[in-house]
Amino acid sequence: MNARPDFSKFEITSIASRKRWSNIFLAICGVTSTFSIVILIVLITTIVVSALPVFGPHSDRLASTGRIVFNAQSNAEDQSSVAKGDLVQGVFQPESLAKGGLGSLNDAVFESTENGSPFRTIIGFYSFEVSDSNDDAILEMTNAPPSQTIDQFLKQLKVRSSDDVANASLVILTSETATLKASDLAIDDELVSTRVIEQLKSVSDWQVFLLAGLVTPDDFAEIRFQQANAGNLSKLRKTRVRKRAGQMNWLLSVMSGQDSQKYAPQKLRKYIDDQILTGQLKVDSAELQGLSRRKRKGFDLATAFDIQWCPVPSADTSTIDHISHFLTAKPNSSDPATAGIGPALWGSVWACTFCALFALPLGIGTAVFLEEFKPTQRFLLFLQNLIQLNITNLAGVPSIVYGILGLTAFATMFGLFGSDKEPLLRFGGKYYYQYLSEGMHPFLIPVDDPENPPKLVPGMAAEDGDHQPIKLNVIGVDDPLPEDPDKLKWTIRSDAEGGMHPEKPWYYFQIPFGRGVLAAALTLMLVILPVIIIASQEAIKAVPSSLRQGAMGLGATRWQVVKNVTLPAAIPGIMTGAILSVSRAIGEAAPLVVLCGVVYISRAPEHLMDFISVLPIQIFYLTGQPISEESQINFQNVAAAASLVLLVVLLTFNTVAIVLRQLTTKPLS
Amino acid sequence: MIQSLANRPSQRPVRTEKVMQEPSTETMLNIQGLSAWYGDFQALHDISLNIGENQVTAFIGPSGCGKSTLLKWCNRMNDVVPGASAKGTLELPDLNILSASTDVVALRRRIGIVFQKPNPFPKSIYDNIAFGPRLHFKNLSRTDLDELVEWSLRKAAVWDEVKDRLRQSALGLSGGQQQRLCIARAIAVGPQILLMDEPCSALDPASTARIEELIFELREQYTIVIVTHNMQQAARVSDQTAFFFEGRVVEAGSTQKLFTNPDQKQTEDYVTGKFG
Repeated sequence: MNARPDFSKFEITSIASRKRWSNIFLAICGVTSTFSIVILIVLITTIVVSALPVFGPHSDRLASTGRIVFNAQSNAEDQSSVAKGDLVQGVFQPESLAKGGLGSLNDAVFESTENGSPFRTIIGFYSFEVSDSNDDAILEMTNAPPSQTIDQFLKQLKVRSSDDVANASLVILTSETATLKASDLAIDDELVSTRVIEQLKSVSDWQVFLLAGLVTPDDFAEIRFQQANAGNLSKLRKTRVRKRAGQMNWLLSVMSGQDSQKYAPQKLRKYIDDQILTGQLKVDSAELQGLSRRKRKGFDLATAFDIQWCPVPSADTSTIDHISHFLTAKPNSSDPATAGIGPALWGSVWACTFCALFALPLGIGTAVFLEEFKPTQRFLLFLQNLIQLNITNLAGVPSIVYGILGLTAFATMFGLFGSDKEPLLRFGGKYYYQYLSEGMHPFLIPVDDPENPPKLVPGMAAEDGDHQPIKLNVIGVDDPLPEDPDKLKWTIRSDAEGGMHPEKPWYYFQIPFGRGVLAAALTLMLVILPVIIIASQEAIKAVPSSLRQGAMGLGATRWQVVKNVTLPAAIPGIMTGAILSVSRAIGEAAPLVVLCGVVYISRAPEHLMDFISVLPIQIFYLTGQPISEESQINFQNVAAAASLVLLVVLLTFNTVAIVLRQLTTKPLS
Repeated sequence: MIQSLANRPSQRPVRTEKVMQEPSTETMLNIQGLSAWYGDFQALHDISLNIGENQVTAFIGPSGCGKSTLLKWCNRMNDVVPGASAKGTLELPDLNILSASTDVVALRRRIGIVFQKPNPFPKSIYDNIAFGPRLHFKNLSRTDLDELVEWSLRKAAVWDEVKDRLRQSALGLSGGQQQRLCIARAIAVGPQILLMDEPCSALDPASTARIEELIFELREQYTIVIVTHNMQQAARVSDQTAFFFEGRVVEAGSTQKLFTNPDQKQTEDYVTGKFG
């Protein structure tokens, strides 16, 4: 029909030019992939190098590798062997530092640097937790002039909250308590209390008050904290100074030189003998002149005393110790060397576990519904397509928007069900009111309604700190106290006031959810749900329809087809999507910044409504901390270390998921 | 030419004998005035056919003529195709297949289907066969199931090849073995009718021959409907043949007659290969 075209008239494209283009393309690809590999290596190296100081063997990491020394001047009038104005030196006891956390005893020893050691004062610094506000309070010393005596210094001991709430500081001690003679330690505790009340009145939202007062001449003078509710100052009326069980700890104790020999704990004395007297202490007189200078080293102390860190390299602490400390310790807003990421790590694990538990079934279920249960009616099909369109668009919504949604829908539930403080429904929590008996023993009275304190009547049920039932002896306001110490132990006046003390087990539940683990997990679920759905849909689509038809031809119902054929064949693809999305959930900070907000969480979540911080938020705030050029470790190093941990957590999640995937798709050999 | 197609010397002399048999008069599948649509496109126009019991009926015709559509309506596989609809009569002796109240799950147990491309599930050989029985039968003891699997595999003439590797993946079998496995899977639930949609089109000649033998043997117990593009195959395996063209049945009748002495010129053209 047609003549054969004359192929010879066409010029053959040169092979070289064609190859050139493919070579150029190859070169571009090669450069790009090499570049990405280099970027990856540089990234990981940067993180590791930056994080290494935190994990590595450095001197000022753990307390047992060194000690904090600070200088003070003695009040010579009370001391036979130390002249007024003499320099004394305080040393933190390392062992107690290492324990950290609530209830630890962080003592310091003042030592005369000029006349040997007869004068010693132990000051305990105590960083304690106010459980309701999730806040740390930090003992702080004011900037006192260099000439100040210990006596005056003690007057200006301050308590402040770590988030720097205005007016949260209290000047608490009086000169009465600072008398250094053991025999003179008797003070009028009512007087002290009155003073404290006066000062507390100027502070609106502080939740801590002091118990101050007297012990026997043989004992230390002690000043103690007790937690109480904000604004309820009348509780101070009953203050006494006694050793108090439970969570309270020493704030400060003062004793004379003789008494220190007599009463100091054995190991403390040994430490003094071994360490201090052998001259390992560092005294920097130049620093001493600028006493008011605040150094953020060791503890968060702004003090007239210059704080020095004296590292004592030790073979006892290994890298493992550093890592385990880092992984378990609380975050610390002042000292990068002792800061940890324990609560945030646990928060991430909780949030992502629950997020995956919610998101996977829901996401896979939705994908199956959209792919395998297509309706034949046109309207329903339209609805389903609408859902599909929405899901596709939701995948691109910025995650911070989901944070707002989570805050409104999960945390506060549109304000329809009461507030977080007074939720509509609570389940599982036990509520107590905590009292201090006349014998200075704390005890608990269980209540049903946490808002209403119980009325103290004789014979009511009460428990001691270990939840053992006790027999309460309620006496009238003006009744004399019983002589018998056993009876006094559980005696309480009928007008005593207590503080609410909730105990929430792991299954505690409330509506609304509050800014807790559950709300965070649900919000993360929203973020990753579209991704899971889309990935699962693709995986299900990839299952050959011949398999579905085969099963259907054998008389399988739609659900049986899904269960026996489609899902088993699609599981690898679904798992891949799930891995990617859960990884995203682990690294997601934005929605949780909106939702949880609170950065400083000092403990791991204990129930689904508990406050939560996660690793990305922790890293975000760590990087924002100021940089100190002097210190070996900065918060930026801690942030890098936390990033490294985040990567490891991510890898762990992925590994588990991949192993699961391999197990579910075990090939038939 | 036509003669030679239908009665050509065969390795299977039994075959010729069977073709000569009088067709059974029992109607298994009664099709009257069946029309089917995909959306607005009418795929079947007023089809009327009787499929005899224990016979092999072949549907032949060029692509797109509606053979597979009819086949898929026979066990309602078209239910899930969006826009597919059908009108008319399509019934078993005791069941109206097209009725909305018909339980398709029960229907598909009675009318099994084998597809063009072997589609074993990505499971073991054993589990492939046991899939259907597990869906349909309660109180299936381990022994019952083992026996059922062996019986089905023997019936599908694949037992000897797979008996030593029942627990291995069915995907490791050859194409022909896979297709016989699919046939075994279909008969394992005890159907009355087997629908085969071009069962050999993806297979090599040797496998095809084995499947054809199998179809021939299965005829004893099952009513078989086979769609094929292979004239020789239709001539070899079927008792009855229906020739489809553009959604209509042009001619239907005994295979021998259709291939040797068709009434319609169109049929003759098609079976002799002049068009199609």
